[in-house]
Amino acid sequence: MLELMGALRWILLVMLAGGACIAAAWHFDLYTPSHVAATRRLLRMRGLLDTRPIQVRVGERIPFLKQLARETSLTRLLAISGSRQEPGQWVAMTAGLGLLVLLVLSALSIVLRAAAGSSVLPLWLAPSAAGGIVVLAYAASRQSSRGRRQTLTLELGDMLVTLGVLVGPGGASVEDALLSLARCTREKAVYELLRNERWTQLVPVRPRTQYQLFWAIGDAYEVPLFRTLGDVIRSVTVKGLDPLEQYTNLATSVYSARLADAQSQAARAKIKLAIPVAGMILPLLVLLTAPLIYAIVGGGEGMSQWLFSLASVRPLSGRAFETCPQSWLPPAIA
Amino acid sequence: MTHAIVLAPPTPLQFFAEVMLLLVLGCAAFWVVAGVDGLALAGGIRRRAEPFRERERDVAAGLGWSARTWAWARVAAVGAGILAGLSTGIPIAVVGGLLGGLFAFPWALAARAERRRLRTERAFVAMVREVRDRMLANTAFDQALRDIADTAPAELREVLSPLAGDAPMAEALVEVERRARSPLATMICLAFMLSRTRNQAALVDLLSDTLLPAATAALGIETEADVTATQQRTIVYIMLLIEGGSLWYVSSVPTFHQFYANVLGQLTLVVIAVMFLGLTWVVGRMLRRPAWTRWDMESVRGEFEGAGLA
Repeated sequence: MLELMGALRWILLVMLAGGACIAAAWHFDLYTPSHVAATRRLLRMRGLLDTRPIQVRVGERIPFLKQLARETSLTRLLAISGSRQEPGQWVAMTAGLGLLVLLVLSALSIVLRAAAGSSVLPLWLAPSAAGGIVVLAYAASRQSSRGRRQTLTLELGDMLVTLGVLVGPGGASVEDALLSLARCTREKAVYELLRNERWTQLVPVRPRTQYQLFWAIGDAYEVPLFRTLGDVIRSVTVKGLDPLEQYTNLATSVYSARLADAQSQAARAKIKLAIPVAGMILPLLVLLTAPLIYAIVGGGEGMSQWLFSLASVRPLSGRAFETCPQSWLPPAIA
Repeated sequence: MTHAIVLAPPTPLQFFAEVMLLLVLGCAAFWVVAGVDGLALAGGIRRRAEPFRERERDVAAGLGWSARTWAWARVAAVGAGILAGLSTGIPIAVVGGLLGGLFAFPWALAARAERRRLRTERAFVAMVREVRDRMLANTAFDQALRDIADTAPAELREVLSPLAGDAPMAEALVEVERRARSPLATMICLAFMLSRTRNQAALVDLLSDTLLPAATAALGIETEADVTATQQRTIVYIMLLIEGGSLWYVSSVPTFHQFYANVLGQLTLVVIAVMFLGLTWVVGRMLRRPAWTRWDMESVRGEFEGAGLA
């Protein structure tokens, strides 16, 4: 058996080394015929070769992967949530946080072990908690980006009310009026996005016209209101429609949609409220049944064993009960 | 003759210390790479605490108290809760008193504040409707607003009092917004401030077609949410009463009393309290009101006054 394991190890090692060699040869075009390599060079120079990253090219063929890559992209999440961190910095900080949790729980585990005489916290707890912190940090980023999108939509919608008055005949340009208004909100979500062209994080090339820019921002940051604003700007600048009427109409439709949404949410909340209200019976049940369970499982020791068996953790040793103050213990043990 | 250096195997404690040291170094290295800045971190915490502070100021304004009085009332409630707990001599009662002072006191008063704010907003929207009607009857905007402020209803007397004097209109509107402490009022003040010097006809259209319908609908939703919240609040009070009564009853049964007097029983009480608080919090979270942007009216005045718009 040991010989087989040894042989397998060698086979694996050889396969790995061989794979690395093949990958290197492929990467450096070692076995590519010279005329093919020359053609590729020419195509690349003329911008005719597809040099997009592999995930983009694969995503084009498999839309699900494209959607998955877009949804899970850390760069995109950080840009939408308005974070100033680079993805590398976020990864480093989250890893540091995970290590800190690992450190604290390991120290706590050793202290409890020294106090109780046997291990109290299970071995898997610290690494699981550290992993959990990483998952939580990612979920927090997603939540933050969702909140930011909502704030952007809210601010932009409320700006439209006065935008028409500001950009009317002889007034300011849309971009200036929008920036001035955006500077005056407390959260400054739109301002943070528009000032110093921070939208370039997700819209790398500035579109030629203003309405195209708003379309691009709306698509990249998933704020459909930017796209609608782009449409209105287009109808004002290209078709020459009355700006006051156009922006006021847009504000009216935004408010109508927002209120319809609020009404439907309020109607849904009435039904959903039954769940927590019914759940309030649970504390009452616990209050009445906990002493019964305590009595049935046989007092404090039985209870602790039962609880630990629920948590799949070994019960406290007798030393722990001896060392803790007697007043803490249930009468069955004390 | 050669001397081989033989390292003794580390004791478990030494090994653990080495692992801990490596973890600390790992943490430090990651945070150096991440560029964690203590000042920025503190600023971030302050920024995140701002909505909470705003909410507290809103409750204080809704009650008609100053922010300082509200802060002292909260401190006093926590102190009273702890003292009440201490007077029973039961450790868990201290925790209960603390939780009661910290969460139950503001929760009970928030309903009153919310209702008062709703009354003010309703009166504010009625006032805007009157301004619009007077403007349609060819009264200038400033004059219409000052006339209404002179004969303001009781709910708005304090809020509109800056408009009754001779103060510049932009300054008075900023002060009105500060006193109203309502996002709906802020939105209306913003429209007043930016439209009054530029296009009064547009302001009338804006009020008639956009702001008044939106504000009326928002008030309708808020009123409905308030009714639902009152019903839920009553249910919470009834449940609290039933659970308090049950606790008092089970405490009088010797076996149950024995359980609730020991550590496990007291932990059970903490779990029950946390469950109850959590469910009450969930109920509050489900009842969302229509959201509005929070504007800084001083900034609006500063930004647009130079351009002659405010």
